[in-house]
Amino acid sequence: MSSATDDEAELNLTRRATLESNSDALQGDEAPTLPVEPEDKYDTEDEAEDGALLAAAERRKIRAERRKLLLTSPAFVIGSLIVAFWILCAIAPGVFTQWGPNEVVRLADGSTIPRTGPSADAWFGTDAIGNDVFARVIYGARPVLILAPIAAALSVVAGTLLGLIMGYVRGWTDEIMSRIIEAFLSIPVILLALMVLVIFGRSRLVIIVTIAVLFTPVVTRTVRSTVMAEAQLDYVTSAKLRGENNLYVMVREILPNITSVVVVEFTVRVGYAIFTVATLAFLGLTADDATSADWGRDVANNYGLIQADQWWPSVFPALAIASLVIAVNLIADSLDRVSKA
Amino acid sequence: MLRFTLRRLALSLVTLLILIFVVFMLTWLTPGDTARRLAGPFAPQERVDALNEQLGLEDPFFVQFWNLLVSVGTLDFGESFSSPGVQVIDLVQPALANSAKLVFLGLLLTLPISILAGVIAARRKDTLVDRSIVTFGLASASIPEFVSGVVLQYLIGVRLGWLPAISDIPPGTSLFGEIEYLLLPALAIVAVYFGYIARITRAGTISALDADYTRTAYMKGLSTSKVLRRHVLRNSLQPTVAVTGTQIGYLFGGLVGLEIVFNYPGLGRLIFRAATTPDFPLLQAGVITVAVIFMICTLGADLIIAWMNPRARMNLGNQ
Repeated sequence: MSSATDDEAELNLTRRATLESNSDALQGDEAPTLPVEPEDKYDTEDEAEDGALLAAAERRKIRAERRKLLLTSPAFVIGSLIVAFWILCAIAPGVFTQWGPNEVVRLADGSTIPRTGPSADAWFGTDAIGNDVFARVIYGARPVLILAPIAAALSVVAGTLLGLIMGYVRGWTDEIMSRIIEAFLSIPVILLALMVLVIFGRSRLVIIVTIAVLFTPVVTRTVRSTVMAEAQLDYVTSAKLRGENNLYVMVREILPNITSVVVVEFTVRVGYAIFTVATLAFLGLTADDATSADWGRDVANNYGLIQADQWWPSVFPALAIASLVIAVNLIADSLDRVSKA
Repeated sequence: MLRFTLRRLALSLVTLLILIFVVFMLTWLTPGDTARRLAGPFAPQERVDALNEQLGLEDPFFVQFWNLLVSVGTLDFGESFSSPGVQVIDLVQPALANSAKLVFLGLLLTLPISILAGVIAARRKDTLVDRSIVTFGLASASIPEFVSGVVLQYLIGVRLGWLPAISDIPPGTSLFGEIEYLLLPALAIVAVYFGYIARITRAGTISALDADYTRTAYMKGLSTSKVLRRHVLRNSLQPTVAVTGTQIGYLFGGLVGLEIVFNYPGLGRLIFRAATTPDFPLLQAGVITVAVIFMICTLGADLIIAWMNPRARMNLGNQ
């Protein structure tokens, strides 16, 4: 499922690498999480004629401009607000609802109202047991928001390391690993995840590691092609001429220059991880506690009722999944745009 | 072209071999005694030993791997664990045919709409039309297909009652009559893939519209529609073909959730059931089938691209 956007990214990357001048690519030096390289000064001297490297002040200006671009982009603002809302739900669900996820809704006279549609008493209706669907949607944000970002982060760390090695060192390491990556990419992630979870159990740890491992090949491929383009640039050549070793060039020279690609990739992977966690939950392959609120599992438990016109216990959690994935992708897309602007 | 094809084929086979190895490793690593699990906790030890012998479960690692390769080569995966007496291949075949029908219908609906939308977005780059197409595509493509499936099932199948909400096709339905049952899940496929195809077509068209040969064609005095048809599309659709190739592969096995929502007996649901039973021969056969289809589709896509663009032929052949 994931490969379309990756192909698109690859298309963009190759185009960027071939069409744009070296100095443009160097602007990728925006590294919010990494310290600015003091060694870059040497490059400035080496490449003074190119004017390729931007002075620190100018770099700061670019960063400020990008921040402004992001904050004025409606997609980014809307996406962030939705994600922030769900994070709040995951942290403090009690703020948003008086009912617990497993609490049966009782009216003032003590009567219960199972299987009733949306009303003032239960905004999203109640399920077959009489639980408040709204409360279950609010509480359901937690499991997916715990699993997905951790899995995505692990895959991005592993993929970045592998991609750096493959894209910079090349040779037979690259050749062999490329074949392995292709093998993993030739099967939908969900099928391999299915196999692994059935075989190794479905604890949170197994789910996180499985998703991380299965996402690593895609991340590696994206980072590899970015690194290959970077490795052609002058600053890498001059670092090599200075006699820096491979490790130094990869970690201290190339890595800071590809952070914007890595950040975008992380956001995209979070989106796909939510997608995957929700699907696994729908298939009944997550968590041990069958009654705790979980969007994917709530859809699975209730979609059969749609034909009896009881749509609310499945459609609302389904819409919750949709809103979160769309929001994350809106953020990823605006980050991507801004990093290329 | 022949050299390119052979080289590409050889690479696919290596990839497939690695995948078969991964699938084999996963089932080989399964903790616990497979034969004991199959025979049941109270079966006599002799029965378990016989099963081990019969299924070759005690054979050395490489013998078992070799046996799996032979199975793939001869398409003989033996009997299914979950339905004793039934050959695995007889379960995979109908599921494959069902998946093929759904995928075909899904693509038939998706491709024209998305390519058209992609070209329109590219020609009106940065206008409201472009933004709407791109954002709608991004949004619909991010939603898991079982989610759009459930929403469509409710809206179109139950609320409006236009189409059957479940794809349980009654036996004896004509091929044409089946379409009615397949339309809803096919629409869910459109929801997921519209975004991918439209975006990639847009990206390809934008770069083709910017290219020198397009400018030349305009300067020759060709009309816009001629430039588009003769010069732009041939180039701009190459990424679209590549993405469609990979996506068809994923559609054959990746729609587990959708097939379950609509109760449709495709490959995804078959593999899901094999995994949860667990029925290892069926699971291996199902997953490897999906991989082979993926290889065929990406190979086909690469060949079409090579045919569309001689430069790609050179690059891929010599890489």
